[in-house]
Amino acid sequence: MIKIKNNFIGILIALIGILTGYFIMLQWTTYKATQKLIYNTEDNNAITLEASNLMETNQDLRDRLDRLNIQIDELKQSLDNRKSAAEAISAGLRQNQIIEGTTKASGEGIRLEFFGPLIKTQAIDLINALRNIGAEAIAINNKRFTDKSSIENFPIADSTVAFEIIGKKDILYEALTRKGGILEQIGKNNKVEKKEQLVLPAKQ
Amino acid sequence: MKKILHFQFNYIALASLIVGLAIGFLIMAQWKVKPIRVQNPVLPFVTLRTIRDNLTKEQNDLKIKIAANQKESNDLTAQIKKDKKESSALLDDYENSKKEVGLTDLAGDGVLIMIDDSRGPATIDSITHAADLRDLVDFLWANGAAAISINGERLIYNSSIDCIVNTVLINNTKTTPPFNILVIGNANKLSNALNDENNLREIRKRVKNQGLVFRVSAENNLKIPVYNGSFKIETAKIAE
Repeated sequence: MIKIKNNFIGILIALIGILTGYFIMLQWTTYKATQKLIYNTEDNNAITLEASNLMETNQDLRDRLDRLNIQIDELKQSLDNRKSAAEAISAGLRQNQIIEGTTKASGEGIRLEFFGPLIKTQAIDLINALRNIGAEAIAINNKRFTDKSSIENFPIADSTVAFEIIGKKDILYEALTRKGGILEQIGKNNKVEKKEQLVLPAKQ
Repeated sequence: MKKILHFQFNYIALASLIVGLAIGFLIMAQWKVKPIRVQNPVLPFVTLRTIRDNLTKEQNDLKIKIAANQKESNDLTAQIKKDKKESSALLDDYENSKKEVGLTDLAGDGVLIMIDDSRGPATIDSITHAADLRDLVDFLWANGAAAISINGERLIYNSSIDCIVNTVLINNTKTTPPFNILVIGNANKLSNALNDENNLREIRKRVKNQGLVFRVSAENNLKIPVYNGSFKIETAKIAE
């Protein structure tokens, strides 16, 4: 009788022990998960950066969609003989000509001068950064750099390399000169000036 | 004997009491657990991720609409030309310029390049970087490419290839390896340039030493999609 009782008590204690162990584990894993969720700073920063980039990008996309809708309306009006779309088509053509570089381009922007030659990868990375920042037209040492241009055909090994970039001058200036930005990464001696008016040649 | 049993019973009772208290405490702790106040005052981590995912979905939706609307605009222009509603010279110039700048689909012969991370252990040199793609694209333009796309993203005047943490962004759109690069142009010239051992040495070195994947094939009738990203020329004007 006592033996049965002892066995029963033993089993009961074993069960209690298992239950205790389970709850300890559960508490521990919940605590670790909570800590990871809240204090995962690296993931937080990366996701914040992604989200911020996406917000800006999506606004640009919405703007483009709006302009396309206006263009479609104008083209439909032309088809219906309600209104000529010649102006809209001409505006589109002018825009494309600037991109192709088949005409001279003018506008506000930035003049960026390097006092020493650049290596190819530096120039490629700089052009990439300029495009990201909002460059609309670029020239290197007075030679137009367009959508299909390659750095290989440009004089970046000269003792002075001057980039002229048409775009919103304040945005370009701030993005280029910010701490940790592309100019700091390139590390070459340089001078950046805002310009009210630049004139870039047509591509040769 | 009775004393031994009594002692044993007391010991068991004490042990059970302690264990019972511990279980009770843990049950209470689990029940009452509150989230600690977040360190980031702006948003908790989970909400940030949801916002990012929603914005990504919105981006995809917008790009699909832009591609559809650009095609509609192109079709309307073609119809206007057919119906002779506007000057055909103006329309010809406009249509040709749209092809050049990436505002139409394009088909033609060229090459297909596939660049991918190594199948082996990941190291800094065995994965594809945004910089590799930038160098490759510059090389392709130097060798007569007429149009390029990477994983469906058409490259145009304002296209950038960047890296945020471990992700490659092309036209501000997240893309993942393998990177399939479609290039329309003279297939022979492009193939010869890409297969020349003296070119793209850095990539070739990593293919040999780190297992980076880099394959080139000449292709007929490649189809490169219309550009569907942001597009604005607001500051630049044609200079007289």
